[in-house]
Amino acid sequence: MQYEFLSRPAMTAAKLTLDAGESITCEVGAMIAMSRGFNVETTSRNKGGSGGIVKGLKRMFAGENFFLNHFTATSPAQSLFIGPAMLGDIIHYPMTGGTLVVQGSSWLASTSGVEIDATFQGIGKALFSGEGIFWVKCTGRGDLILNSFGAIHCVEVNGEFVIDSGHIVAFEDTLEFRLGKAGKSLIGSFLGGEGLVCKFSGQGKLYYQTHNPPSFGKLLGPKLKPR
Amino acid sequence: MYAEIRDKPSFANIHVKLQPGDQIIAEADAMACMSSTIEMDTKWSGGFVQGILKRVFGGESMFVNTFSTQTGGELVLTQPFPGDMQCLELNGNTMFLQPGAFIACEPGVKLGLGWAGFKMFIAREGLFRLKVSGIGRVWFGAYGGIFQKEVEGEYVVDSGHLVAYEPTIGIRIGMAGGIFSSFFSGEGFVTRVSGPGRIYMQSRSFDGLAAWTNAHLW
Amino acid sequence: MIQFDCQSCQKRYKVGDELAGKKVKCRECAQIMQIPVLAEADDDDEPLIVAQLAGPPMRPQPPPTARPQPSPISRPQPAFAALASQRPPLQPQATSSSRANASSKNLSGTTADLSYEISQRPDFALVRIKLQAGRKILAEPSAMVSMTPSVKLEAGIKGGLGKTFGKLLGGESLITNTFTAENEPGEIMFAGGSAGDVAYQRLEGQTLYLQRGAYMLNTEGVEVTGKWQGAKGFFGGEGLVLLKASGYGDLFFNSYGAILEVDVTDGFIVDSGYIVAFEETLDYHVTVLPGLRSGGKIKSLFFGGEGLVCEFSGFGRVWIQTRQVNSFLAWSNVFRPAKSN
Repeated sequence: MQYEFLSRPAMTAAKLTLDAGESITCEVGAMIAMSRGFNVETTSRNKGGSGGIVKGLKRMFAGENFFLNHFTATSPAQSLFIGPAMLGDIIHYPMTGGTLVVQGSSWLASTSGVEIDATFQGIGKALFSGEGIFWVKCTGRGDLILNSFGAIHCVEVNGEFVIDSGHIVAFEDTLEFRLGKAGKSLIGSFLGGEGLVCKFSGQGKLYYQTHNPPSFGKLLGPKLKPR
Repeated sequence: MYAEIRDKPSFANIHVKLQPGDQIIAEADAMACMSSTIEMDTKWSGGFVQGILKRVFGGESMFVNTFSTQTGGELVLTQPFPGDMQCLELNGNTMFLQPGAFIACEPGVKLGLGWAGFKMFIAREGLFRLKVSGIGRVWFGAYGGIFQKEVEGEYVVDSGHLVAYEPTIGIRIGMAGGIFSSFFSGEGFVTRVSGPGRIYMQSRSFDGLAAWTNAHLW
Repeated sequence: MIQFDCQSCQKRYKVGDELAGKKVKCRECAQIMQIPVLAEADDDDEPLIVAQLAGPPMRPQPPPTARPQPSPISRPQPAFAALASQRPPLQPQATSSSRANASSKNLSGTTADLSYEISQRPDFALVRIKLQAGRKILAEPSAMVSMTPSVKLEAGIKGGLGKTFGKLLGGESLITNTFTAENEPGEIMFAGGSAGDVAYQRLEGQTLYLQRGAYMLNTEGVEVTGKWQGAKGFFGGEGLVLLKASGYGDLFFNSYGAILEVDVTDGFIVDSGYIVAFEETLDYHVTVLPGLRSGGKIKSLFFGGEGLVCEFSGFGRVWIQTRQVNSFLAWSNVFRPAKSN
């Protein structure tokens, strides 16, 4: 499968070119456009790998959208354009047997061979209730396509690094993480707007986004029509 | 203190490198990530600014954070919405900003909240303005791209699209067209600016985004 | 003599030394080129006519892929529709490396009625229109960002209050505002409400279909009306609501997301939420691809993510956007205030 990212860095769309027999899995609603030579299936199963149901799918997508689309090309050189729900960028991460922990709304698509587990509790759900942040553990081999709200930057952590949890896109699980205070005093942290942050330590790659959706939503929300 | 605005104009953010002795002051929730060697100190803004710093968009933001370091470190500062940022180097001069536009400044910059003194009462933002003065850099941002215009005579700007302006600019709220046109054109009230001076505009408005979103809902 | 090639179409030129460093327009493809300062020419090359000097202002011309004729283009293409070729910009690149692509290039040009510049593409595209004295344009209500005071604004007949994108049935006219540069030339800047791109199309008798939210502004010779399209009654719901733009003049339309231009030659399927505009020469068929349905409880006037797709065939251009409204509505829904009884 070949991939190309267009209109970066805020309106990025991914153009994927698949050969007959190749397939890619993405969330329902991600398809922008495609050529005719595709077979489209909707399931809750992980294509390839164990073929098992993707764990925790219901939590992965808001509301009833807990299905995945599998696109399988039926002819050579078929093109598929996909895009995420929000403004932002898209990157490709090659899975080579390691483990990548991905923030839930940052997973866009992956090829068969990449296992997706959305029941990963790693950080602790109580802290993020209301923010809608949860984590997806990706393992196996293949292509992983991630999206962000904001521009994506990569930090090679070697020591310690502090990040507001809403800004995490993905991190290699060679990193340790714990929640901590950002400021000097407890009161300072809580009221300073940073609240609790995530402190990473060890060595590994951390991908972060420059903006976070809940901050945007909280500003815009009051101006919208009541539901 | 090294500071660079990255990822303009869609997701602008400030990448800062602090040395011991450097300080940068930022809005409450502007920190995205930072080295663990950066310290953050939170102060109630009542003591820091003249009057209370009101963040017109979403309520009050009474707290500002001061970032410093003992050994050196990096920091990324951002804003809640996608958009552009601009840096101004003040050298004793003054600039007026839309209150929601402030992101960060160096310690020598003074912040004050002022009444914009519009002649007509309108129940929306624009009644207040933030006055920045002193010596040092100040960073502001907006939803949309930011661009400048040197105004000589008169110019008409949709009110949600004006980010910042020099004190020499005269501001007057007016109608976009005649009374009938203003109510029914959807353009509503506009800001009539008169020069000479510089204004900063944004290519989108937050109100415009809300209106666009609402227009798609039942 | 200085010898150089047009960066765009590779046409070879040989000009006198006195033109070193000057900007000229390529006679072949109309791109602005900068004549290099030092480049020796061989005498046995065919002597070429000096390229015509372009008058001020020196701006890149819009890429000449806007086709005035509605006739199909026959070119050998792979099974998939090709992205319309985009020419490399000749102006200095923006500083960030990720900006160095065609979708962020400024577009500008001059027509019989106006001159325009589309900047800050594709994220927050802004259109600057310069009108000659006596000319007017029609625009979507509340699209104005700023204008010179000499421009006169008149409201559309039905008004712009309570702006919901109502369904336009059978040939209703669009509600627009009219901007007129009365006694002197005027300048107006326009932008859409959402982040996104702006595209320009010159209409010379052909017809374009636009998604309802895409309409931005047009000159008088263009007529824009509502049209009901496709899949009506098929699933008991509504199909695509489209506008029809035709006539002779300039049309600007906007998008949520970046605009990708696709020249269809062999069939192309687009999710309905991502369609911005398409040429009338295309055959299209609105259908539901059940596998693509995302469901959701958001009541919206637009469809997309419901599995509603448009299958294009024949020859013509489709403008697609890289984001869709319904996804934004679904995400922002949780932040809306709850109705209090």
